[in-house]
Amino acid sequence: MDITFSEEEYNKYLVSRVYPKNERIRGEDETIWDAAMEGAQVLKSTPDGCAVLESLAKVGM
Amino acid sequence: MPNKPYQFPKFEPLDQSTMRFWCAKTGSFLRSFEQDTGINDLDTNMEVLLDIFDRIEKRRVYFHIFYDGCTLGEINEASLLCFWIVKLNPFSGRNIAANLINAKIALHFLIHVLAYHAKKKGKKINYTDQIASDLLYAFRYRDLSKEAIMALAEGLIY
Repeated sequence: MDITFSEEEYNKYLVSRVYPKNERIRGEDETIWDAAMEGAQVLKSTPDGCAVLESLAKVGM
Repeated sequence: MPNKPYQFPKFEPLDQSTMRFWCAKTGSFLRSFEQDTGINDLDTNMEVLLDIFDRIEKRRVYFHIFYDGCTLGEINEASLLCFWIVKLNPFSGRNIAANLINAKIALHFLIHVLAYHAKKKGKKINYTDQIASDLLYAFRYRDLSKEAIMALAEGLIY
């Protein structure tokens, strides 16, 4: 059998080249560890966050 | 337009000063982990850690080339780092299994980045003891692919 495609099918292929959501807040030259350290401050600033830290410390131990 | 392998440049080794900078940042986070968990005397296999840094930078380039100039977002980068930590186990501790300490560090790190990202976006993280336990198990026994961790992490913010 012949396998070919129409202009419309090719255009569909172009449109389908959509990638997963991938948002960056900090600059690409900033380390991910800095984001994590800032996350620590976020967690420590609320009772819910402190509970998360307590839970993380205990999990698996 | 380059679409053939030979039309792309080769990935060069990362320079020492960049590696030292990232190691220092990693050390800061590990000290915070030690304080939060009471797990002390962690050790790092430098060869493995530098390999992980290298792999993440290659993935950053991959995103740029194959995702139409896309940058590597924090959630994806953190997920990727988690993947390599649990796969290559760069960290070790006294009297704790290697796969457990690395899974704990990876989980700790991921939740911290998610907390950061959620705060910046005015959102929350979906965290429960059960979710933490399930993720730790999946990390410990390396059940998740890179893409699975990325998709999962994105779903933990609402």
